Amino acid sequence: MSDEDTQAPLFSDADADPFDCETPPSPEEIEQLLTHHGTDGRTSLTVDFDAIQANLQMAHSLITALPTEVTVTSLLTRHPDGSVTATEVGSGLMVGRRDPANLVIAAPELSGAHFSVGPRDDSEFSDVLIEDLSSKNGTWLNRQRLHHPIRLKAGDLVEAGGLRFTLLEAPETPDGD
Amino acid sequence: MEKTRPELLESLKDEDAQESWTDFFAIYRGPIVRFAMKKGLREEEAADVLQEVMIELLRVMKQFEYDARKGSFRNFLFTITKRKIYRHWRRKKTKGDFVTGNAERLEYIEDAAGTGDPLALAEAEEAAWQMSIIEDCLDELCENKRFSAETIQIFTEYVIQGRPVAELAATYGLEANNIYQIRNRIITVLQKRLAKFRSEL
Repeated sequence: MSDEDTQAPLFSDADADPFDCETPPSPEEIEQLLTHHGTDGRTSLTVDFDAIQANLQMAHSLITALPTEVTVTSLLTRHPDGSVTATEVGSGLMVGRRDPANLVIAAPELSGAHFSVGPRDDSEFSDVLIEDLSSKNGTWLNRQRLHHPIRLKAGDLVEAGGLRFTLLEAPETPDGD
Repeated sequence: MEKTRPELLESLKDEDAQESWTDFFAIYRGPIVRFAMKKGLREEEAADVLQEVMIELLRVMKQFEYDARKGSFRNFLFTITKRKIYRHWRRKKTKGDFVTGNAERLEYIEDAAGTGDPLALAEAEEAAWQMSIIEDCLDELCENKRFSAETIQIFTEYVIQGRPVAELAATYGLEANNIYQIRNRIITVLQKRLAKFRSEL
């Protein structure tokens, strides 16, 4: 075996556990947990954590700049002047530079009707979909150009006309539905 | 200098908190994804849950006031995670996106809706959460070469799968005592890891 599991310390000072101030579970407790609930199906994850973290960084900058708390599912927009607004998605939202868009933003690279965001259906747990409306400069979702309607998740990065957007869902209710 | 958990939670409220969020994300990303997978979501769906949980926290932490007397942050995070998983299942149910005959998944939805035994559900979820942390820790130990993949495999076969020591020792050309040492050393690491998630704040 090529590892250091014989004598070397398991944690160096550099990676000392910042929360290691509580009484740890006993070895017997851990062994019992492993024996009763363990699985031999443990696998390495293939999730692109960096991509999620990049989305979170962008969303963090938008959320912290919001002047008010958002109580309904909303599209957050970083405007050309740097301000951030939240627009209720409701039954559907069209983003563009002029009518018939209902979220009108004076950004020269934005098409008149650039992209739309709205629920797939009227069910309580409906997905929210995003669709590019044949815009001239395209709509990008998580750094991929949109070619067809696709589910938009809370925190996804939307880029269109040089602007950035993200979706913020309505807060969870206490009973979870 | 490392932050204590209260310091880390408080620092998440700052407008310039990217570094704190990075630390926070690194601690919780694996366990949240693994827990969602234990609740029957596919890995890509579990990754969606992770993003949604973190976004919810970004929103909530703006108003978050740390008070140890009001309950643990761990439970707060756990509750948000379960709600996001539940919403995924409700969405799947709405779309008819089910694997036929998957009774366990359907049962989870019913339990989450409050129709099952709440105590049994809470205990099962707690165990699943702790196993998620343990599995993430084992995976991390493999990745950072702290232990070899073979050592982790021996630990898994011995402790989790219950393979006899003598059989394992023969398979891997080790003494029985080596197997016990592996178990003890890895469990020591797991103790440290579980302690930080178990802390009541």
